[in-house]
Amino acid sequence: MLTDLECDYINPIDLANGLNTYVMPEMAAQLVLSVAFLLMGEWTSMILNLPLAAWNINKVLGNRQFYDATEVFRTLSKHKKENFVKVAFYLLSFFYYLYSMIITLVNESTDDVRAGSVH
Amino acid sequence: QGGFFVPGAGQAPMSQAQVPSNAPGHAAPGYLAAPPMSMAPQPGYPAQQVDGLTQQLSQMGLGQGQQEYQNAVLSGRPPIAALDEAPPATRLPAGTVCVPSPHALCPPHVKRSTLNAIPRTDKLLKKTKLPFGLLITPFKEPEAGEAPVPVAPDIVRCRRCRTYINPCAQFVDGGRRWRCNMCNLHNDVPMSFDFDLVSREPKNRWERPDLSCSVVDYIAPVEYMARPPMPPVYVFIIDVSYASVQIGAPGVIAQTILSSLDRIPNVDGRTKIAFIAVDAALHFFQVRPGSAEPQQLVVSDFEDVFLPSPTDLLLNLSECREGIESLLSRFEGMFQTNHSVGNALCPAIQAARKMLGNLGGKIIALQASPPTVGEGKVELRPEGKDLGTPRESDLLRPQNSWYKTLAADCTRAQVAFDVVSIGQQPMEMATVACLARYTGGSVFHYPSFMAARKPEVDRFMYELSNHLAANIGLEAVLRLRASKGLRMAAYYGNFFLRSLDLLSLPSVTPNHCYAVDVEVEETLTAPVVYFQAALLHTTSYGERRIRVATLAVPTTENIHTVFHHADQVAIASLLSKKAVDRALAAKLEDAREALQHKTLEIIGAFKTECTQSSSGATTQLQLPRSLQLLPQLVLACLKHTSLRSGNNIPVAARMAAMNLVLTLPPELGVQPYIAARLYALHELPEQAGYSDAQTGMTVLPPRLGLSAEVLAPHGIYLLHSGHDSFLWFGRNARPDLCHALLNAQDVSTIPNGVISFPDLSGGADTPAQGFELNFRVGRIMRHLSELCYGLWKPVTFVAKEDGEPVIRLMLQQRLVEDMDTSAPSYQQFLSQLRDKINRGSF
Repeated sequence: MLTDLECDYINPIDLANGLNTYVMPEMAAQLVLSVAFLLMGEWTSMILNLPLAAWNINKVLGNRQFYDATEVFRTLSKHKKENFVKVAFYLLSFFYYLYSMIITLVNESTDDVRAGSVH
Repeated sequence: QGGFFVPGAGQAPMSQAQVPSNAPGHAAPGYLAAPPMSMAPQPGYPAQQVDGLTQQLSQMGLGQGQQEYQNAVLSGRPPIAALDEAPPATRLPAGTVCVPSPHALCPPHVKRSTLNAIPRTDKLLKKTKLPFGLLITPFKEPEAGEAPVPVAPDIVRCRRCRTYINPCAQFVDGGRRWRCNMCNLHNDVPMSFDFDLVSREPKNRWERPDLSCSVVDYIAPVEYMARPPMPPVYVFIIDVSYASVQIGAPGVIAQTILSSLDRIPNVDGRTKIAFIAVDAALHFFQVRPGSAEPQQLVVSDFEDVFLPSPTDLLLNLSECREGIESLLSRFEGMFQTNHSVGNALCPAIQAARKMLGNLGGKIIALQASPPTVGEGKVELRPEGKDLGTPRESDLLRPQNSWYKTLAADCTRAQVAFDVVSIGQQPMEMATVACLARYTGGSVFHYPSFMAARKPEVDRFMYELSNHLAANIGLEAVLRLRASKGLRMAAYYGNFFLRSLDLLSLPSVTPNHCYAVDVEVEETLTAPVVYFQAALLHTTSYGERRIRVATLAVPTTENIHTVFHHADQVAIASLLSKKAVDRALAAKLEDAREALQHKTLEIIGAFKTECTQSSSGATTQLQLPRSLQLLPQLVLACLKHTSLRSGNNIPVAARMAAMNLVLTLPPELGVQPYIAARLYALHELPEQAGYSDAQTGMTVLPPRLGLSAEVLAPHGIYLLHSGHDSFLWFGRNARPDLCHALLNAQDVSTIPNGVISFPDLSGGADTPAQGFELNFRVGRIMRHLSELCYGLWKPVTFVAKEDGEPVIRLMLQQRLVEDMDTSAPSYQQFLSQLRDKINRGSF
């Protein structure tokens, strides 16, 4: 959407309205995930997510989390960079979770096999 | 003048020999001609180790070889009269313009570049440290003696970059094709250039206005309209709460609107007007067409704002004229005893938007109290303790984003807002003024308004009436195009930015200026670059038009040319706008710091690049003659109400000043608004105050430097800053002058405070016996007002040397060259700059 704005396909008000609906759900989901890791005792995953959670909380406290249609052109490059970093982080953490899930599944099934084979 | 030529300290002996005279009242030539060409290492110039005498002799004879670039030494008093000079001429190569006509070059009051010789590379621009930008007043009304903007018959645009044809396009191929000056594409010349299709007669293409005038109007065909052209629509939201009734605002407002009904643009009879009175409830007024009896409908339910009647709330001005006049004459009486406290501005705005529907229009909110009801209600932020501390900048930022989002939404519906704040009550202008800032509207501020104070009422009526009568443009967009290699980086002013080069202006006021920061992205190869501003708008008489203004500026690779063709007034205007913008986005201290740093950088860059003492210490700073007033103007910006440090400026006054700085064009914003005009009235030259024989305009006396040194104790002075004017009486002012000026016995009988300047000649064309001074000063003041395009009607403050300290302080704040609590004096400022430069710490 941000590159659409740059190429003049949409106007800032539509951008703000469109993107702002996803800001809070995304932050909430990220926070829920971090808290879940905390409760589960998965310390590595929690530490991985902690910087992003702190960054989000910082933005909410400073009331900067929403896109402001009047100022969006000024901060366009900053927003783009931020979004790229987030995408990269989400991608890497996705693969990390996938990997951990496969490992867990494999371990579980070998445990079951071992447990099952004993009987 | 012999002696050694010591590199680095070379300036000192020569400058001491010619100390400028500091006589007050003189346009003191505070500069002297240093060696004609600075000692930049260039082929053919002797190296600095060559014998000094030969060198100085060769310098003397060098005037003809190089251009007469004079450097000004910054010392003594700044040459204030230089402010009235024209900006440096642009030396365009011959043949740039295809038709030699006096209108082919863009007039500076429409479009102005800070640099009249643009550096070809970004590296060169960064070396000069000069800010590069444009100041555009696209919808400027032609002045009294000027011809109106010509209308071109049909639209011819480049195929590739969509630039409109302009006087700088070149015709090639024997006149069959034209070369676009922005993208160098060859376009076909349409038949209509040479042959009139309607009357079947040959035409002379050179008579076309778009080839001979740089500012031209086109009539836009249907492709340029999203919908049929809209009529002017004005909705007045008038505060009638207790606070407003106490100062008598509703009556004066109704009176003003009543007297301006004929001046509101209504050429084709489609103009619509509506009134909403606001206190704790909303009062709508319904007038059936043809009837003379308005009906008042009151709505107090704000849960879901609705219009009490589907029709007859938005009134056609011509059809319902009787009813409107009757409403306005009864308006004051209706609310005279109103005790309701509370201001439902937010529901009123929502109702007004419902009323306007898809039509769009201008909503003028005249407020005397803060909005207390509705989603956008504001909490009054206490300011006392925070003024003068870094927390003051938080007070300048809007409290909630309701107004900003509403403004952004309204630009899509082509609704613009004007915000008028009346009276002393704190109204959170920082939040409410967002409505005007992001919809291209204006902000007005009348803090000392009271119905009993005649000068204030006069001023309010004059300014509001002029504003309503202004020939506004509606549903407009402004697009800026520049030659290849230039990019528009940031914009300053009141508008909504729809896209990187498109400004959306639901309403365009003739006197609003938009500033643009321009960056040099690639190396510029052409000798001339062009900027074209196209304003697509609907006129107040229902025609869709495009106003195109083209500016041509030469490029250069020589750093000296860049410096000597810089426009100091434009630079000061751009810097002040940037500083105000920075203060609103970050902190006031940052803005002041940035301004000072920029001046330091510019002087330092000039010293390093263009003077002999490039790396050594100097005793005197030098600047090119074209920039000699820059430190004075920057100091004036730092001391101006908008950026001034200190704890005695209320937030509302600061916001109002900032809004004005952001929107005023440079010929008003820099002077007189920031750097006032000071005249000595007790020693007027003979011709001053009378009409000049040749031009018919009033002759103005010579300007004085803005310092208390020039205020003699026996003198009477006039200080005019556009928005306000002061009459200063020294303690020994001559009684006969006091009598001739104000019909007063002597100084002590002149009332302190605000007066209405009396016209003791009764409006006649020649002065009454004994009151010539009054007549002449009255004419001078009227002329100064006209120079401000009728934007302001300043009240006249009487400041006496031994009189009320408050007014004296107000006047002294405008004496920019003196030291005061917020910033150093001019000399101290220069010495601070010099010390920093000599230390190399910048």
